[in-house]
Amino acid sequence: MKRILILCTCLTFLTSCADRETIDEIQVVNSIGYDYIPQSNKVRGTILYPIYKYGPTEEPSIIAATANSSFDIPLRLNNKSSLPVAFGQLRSIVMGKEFATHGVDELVNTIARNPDLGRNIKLSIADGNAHELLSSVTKKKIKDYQFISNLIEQNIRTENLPNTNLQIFLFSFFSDDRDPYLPVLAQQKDAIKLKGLALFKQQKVVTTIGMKETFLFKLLTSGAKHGRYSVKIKENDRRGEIILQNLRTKTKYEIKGNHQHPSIIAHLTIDGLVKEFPGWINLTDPASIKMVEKTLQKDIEKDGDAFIKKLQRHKIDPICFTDYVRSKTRGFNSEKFKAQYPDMNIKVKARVHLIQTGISN
Amino acid sequence: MHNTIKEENQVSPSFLFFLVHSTQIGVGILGFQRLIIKGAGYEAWISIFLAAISVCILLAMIFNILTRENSDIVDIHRLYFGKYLGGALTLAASAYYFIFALTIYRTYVEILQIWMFPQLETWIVSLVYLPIIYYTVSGGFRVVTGIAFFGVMLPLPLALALIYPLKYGHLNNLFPLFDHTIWEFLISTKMMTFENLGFESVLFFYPFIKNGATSQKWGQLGILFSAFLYLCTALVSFAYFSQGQLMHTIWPTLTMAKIIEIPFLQRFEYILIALWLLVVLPTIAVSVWCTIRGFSKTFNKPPTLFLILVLIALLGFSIFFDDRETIDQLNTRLSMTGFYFIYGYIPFLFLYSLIRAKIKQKKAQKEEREPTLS
Amino acid sequence: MNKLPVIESHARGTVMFKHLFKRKNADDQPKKSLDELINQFKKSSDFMTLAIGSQHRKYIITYFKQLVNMQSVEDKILEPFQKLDFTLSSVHEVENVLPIEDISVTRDTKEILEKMLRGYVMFQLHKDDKLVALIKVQSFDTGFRKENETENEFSVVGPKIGFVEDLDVNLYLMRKTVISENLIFKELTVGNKSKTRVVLVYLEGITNPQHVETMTQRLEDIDFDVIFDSTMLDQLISDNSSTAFPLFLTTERIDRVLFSLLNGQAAFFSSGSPYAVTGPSTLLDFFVSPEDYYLPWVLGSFFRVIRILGVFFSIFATPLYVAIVTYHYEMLPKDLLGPIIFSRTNVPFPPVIEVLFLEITIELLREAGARLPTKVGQTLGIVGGIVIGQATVEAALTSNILLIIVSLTALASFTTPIFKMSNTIRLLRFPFILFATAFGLVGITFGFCFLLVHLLRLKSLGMPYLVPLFPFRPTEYRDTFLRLPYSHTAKRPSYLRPLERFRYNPNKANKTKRKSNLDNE
Repeated sequence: MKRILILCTCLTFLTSCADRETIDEIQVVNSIGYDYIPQSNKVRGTILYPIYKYGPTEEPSIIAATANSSFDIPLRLNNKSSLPVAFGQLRSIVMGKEFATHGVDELVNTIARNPDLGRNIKLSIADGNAHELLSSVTKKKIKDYQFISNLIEQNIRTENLPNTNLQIFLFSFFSDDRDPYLPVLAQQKDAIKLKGLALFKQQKVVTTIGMKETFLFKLLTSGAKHGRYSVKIKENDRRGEIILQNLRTKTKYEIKGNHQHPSIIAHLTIDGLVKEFPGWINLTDPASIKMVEKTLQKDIEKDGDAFIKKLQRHKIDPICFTDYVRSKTRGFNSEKFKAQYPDMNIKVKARVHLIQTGISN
Repeated sequence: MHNTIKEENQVSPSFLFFLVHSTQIGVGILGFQRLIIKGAGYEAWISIFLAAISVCILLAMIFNILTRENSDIVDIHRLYFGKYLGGALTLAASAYYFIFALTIYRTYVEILQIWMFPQLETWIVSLVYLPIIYYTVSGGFRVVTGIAFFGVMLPLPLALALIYPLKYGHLNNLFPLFDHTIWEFLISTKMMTFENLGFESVLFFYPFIKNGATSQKWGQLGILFSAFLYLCTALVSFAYFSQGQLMHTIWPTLTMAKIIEIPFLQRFEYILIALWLLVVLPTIAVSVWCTIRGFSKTFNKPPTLFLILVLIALLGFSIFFDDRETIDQLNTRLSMTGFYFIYGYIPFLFLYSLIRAKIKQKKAQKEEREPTLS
Repeated sequence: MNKLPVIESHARGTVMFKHLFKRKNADDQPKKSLDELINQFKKSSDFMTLAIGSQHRKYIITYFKQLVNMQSVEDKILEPFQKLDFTLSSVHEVENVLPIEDISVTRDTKEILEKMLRGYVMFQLHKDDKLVALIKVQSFDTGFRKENETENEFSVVGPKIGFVEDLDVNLYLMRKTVISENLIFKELTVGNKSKTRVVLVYLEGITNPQHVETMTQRLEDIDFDVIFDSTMLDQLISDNSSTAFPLFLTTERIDRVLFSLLNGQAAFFSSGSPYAVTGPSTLLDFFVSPEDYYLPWVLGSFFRVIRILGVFFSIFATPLYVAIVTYHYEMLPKDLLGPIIFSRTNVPFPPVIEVLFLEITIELLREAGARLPTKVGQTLGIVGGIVIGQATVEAALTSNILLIIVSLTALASFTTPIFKMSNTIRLLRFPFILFATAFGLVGITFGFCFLLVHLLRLKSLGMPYLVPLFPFRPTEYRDTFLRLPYSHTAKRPSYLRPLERFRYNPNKANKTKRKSNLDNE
């Protein structure tokens, strides 16, 4: 019997069973971009990958291909590449503005079904053309094929951006009670800039918000440990600007009212320090501190309310109030809540606590 | 009945924990979340408790039957139902274990094919995997128990990796509680049967355990531990996936593993799938061992002959089931058969055994009171 | 007394087929007569015949010149006979006359044959006497080493005494270190041409008699011609001769053998070999180094853990490289992706060929280094290691990352204290590389399952090889992966089934009072 065993094993090794993807014989793709061309109703895909032949530092380079739908793109790309294109190390997907407003359903379903892709992929929307965005990565100014994913990751870590990756996106995308969001990247003369967030309704982008509102959004959804917020301050004809550095923010929701007419209050408890402030404020004086705190509070509440009103106007719910109410009610009726949502009374209540004020007075 | 197994082939009672636990944890844990939410939605984790309790009761019933007769199910069938009917029932049980082994084996190979190597042919994997099974089972029951032990202990640290997806978890998903009817909870409990199958193989290997009667507590511990693992996985999955997302995901545990990041290796799910080989091997080995024991005891032929036949049959059938549809059907059919086997046949056998024992007792008492005049 | 159950060995070619061998050898032939014997002996040029004694009486002595101690012969046999004029009426009186302790009188030609070939002198009153006296003047301390500094099992701390090729010296060393009446020596003869003396050593009252009985039975059942080394005996009596794993522990060091005896194992020595073989042994015994016991337990445990990690690293590192680079490029973190792709861009071979090339080069270096005299060996080591390695990277035949991995694994495979086990580790790497190249990570797991099942099936003298890992005995882990302090290692491991559980009183062994000074103030 041992002989049969050995024979079987030898047979196995000689027949080269599984499909090899030896690392230097494939094209490792880092980013892929999708654009929608409305005139011809076609989709254009662009991939960004490193070339190592010329030395230890890699050269990013791109290939683009046009196809009828996003399913065909990998095949067309292979037609233009000397090595087989491999998506296993994909780290960012960029969607052009037209593509995002047209509808991302197909693409998202394909991505979710693909076992090759990890869940840490960063999706983003390009303010304009994804192809141009990716080609600017290859230019001399940036020349780092991992630029886009590193940019987004770094901003998440310093908490200018709420946490986002494929898993978080899919979580909201497939859920009935939530609406997803993605970061927006803009191009500024060959440099790439993070512009804000794009908010989805179902599978289309309906609106974008800027960086300040993004920070507010982050505070309202999950609290934060970093981040900066600037507020204008006015006292007795003296004007200035204060930068609040957020140290710890806790967010809690509260449902008031009854089943028929619920209303929600979002409580923000912010512990922060004032990073920069105009000279005429004396922060050793407790009355001054109180005044600064109150100004910050009022400002945040005002901005928060305005932001939520904006969301209600567009009928989208990325802060997931629907989901929160669902988890607190038995027999939750999702349709009814969504119908009430645009007129619902949702307020922000903030409490600011200044802890430190820097090392010199 | 006297236990005819030599002591050097027996294992000590505490190993029942590993045997029961390793046969239960197979491929079910990789994809069961999607099935159990069909009834009670995100509260199906409560049904995991219910299923575990019912299985504990069933195990107690099994031990009651086995300790009364002090032998395995082949002898019990022969004793209760006669040579021919008993033999037929044993063959049916053996065939059930064969299909169990086949399902687990084919599902695992399918996972390999979908997740890691799409172009891998089934028969090539079989060429390597089946000799491992041969090597394990031909070493005797002690080697099979050894593999069960290692198949539990070595992959156990992987369970700690469940902490990582909690970072993305939304505990709100689990609320509100008790929002479903009892009937929906029962549906979810029924869906859990497949994951709990495997413990009934005690029916075949009971004589190989030293002091079998004392080993019941280890078996119950094994079931509870499996239930605990299922519970943790389910809770973490429910926190990680939204309900809509979970319905779209065929293998939630593996998809969850995609997000785990350890310092210098990404894509933790590849490590998980590769190590799953070690988790699934005891399940298949024990089931194959049971099949062979049933056949060889009924026909009174050496077990090695049946081992070769069973492996060839595994090879053949695994090639036959070659797409997602058929494998899914295989899983559901097996789940149904297992359901009737454990919730139907075992209580029936238990009652039969009780009644038979009562009748025997009454007869013995009558004999005592009125001894037949000789 | 009941005969103890003996565990039969499954080694092929020795026990099993003995009854099939009807080949005639010297043992089976009918006894020769004394004249035939002496005629046979006279064919060798070192066979001497002397007539000794006074003028009136001449007695005949015959011997093999090379085997006897000439000084002893001259002093103790020739001198008395020449100085003092003996008149012997019968051969038996020689026993009283000569100042030598081992004199026997016999007619048995078989015994004469054996003893003369061992260095005994044959004494006859008359030329054709059949009744002879055999006088022992054996020379034993020529041609063998006097000392052994155990360079192969070197330890920085601790005694560096090892066994030598001479059996009597070894037995003397054993007796000197264990002053106990329970140290029993049991002598056997193995090998029909070499008639090697094999001595079984055990501590009565501790070692389970079943182990001793099994070992004795298996040794007696051997049919072999010349036993060159005790490690051949180890293979001939092992439970499974086709496994790569050593089933008995062989060692040159005295302290290791003593430690095994104290735990309840039995050992045997063979004449002409400095290696003692102890059994039954388990897998984890092979990763124990005497230094673990001479250093404090924290250090000893730490080094033991490093050793075991080194073993895992050396088996799995290269197969993992092959698997990841060939199939699983997705598993590399993004910062490592660049260097690895770049290191492989200009290499023309697939990863498995690269790896095999480097591994076989290292094996060749090792084998060559083992055969060369020391001075040349050192130079070649430097040439081989640095120059060849560097040159292959420059010529782009291999990648530099792989070179680092392979050198580290080669280094890690030498951390095992027992030579036999480190050979096994070196060998184990190759099947894993082949599995990795066929199936990637899953292939490595396949290989690991095969290995695991193989280890589960191994038995050493009837005892499972993987104990205390399986069957799982949680109380036996005091001296396996970690070496706990001496107050905790007083109990002998139960899987050897010793007759006495405790080595010494744990309460009295080094109970440092660790109360805090604060309470004493």
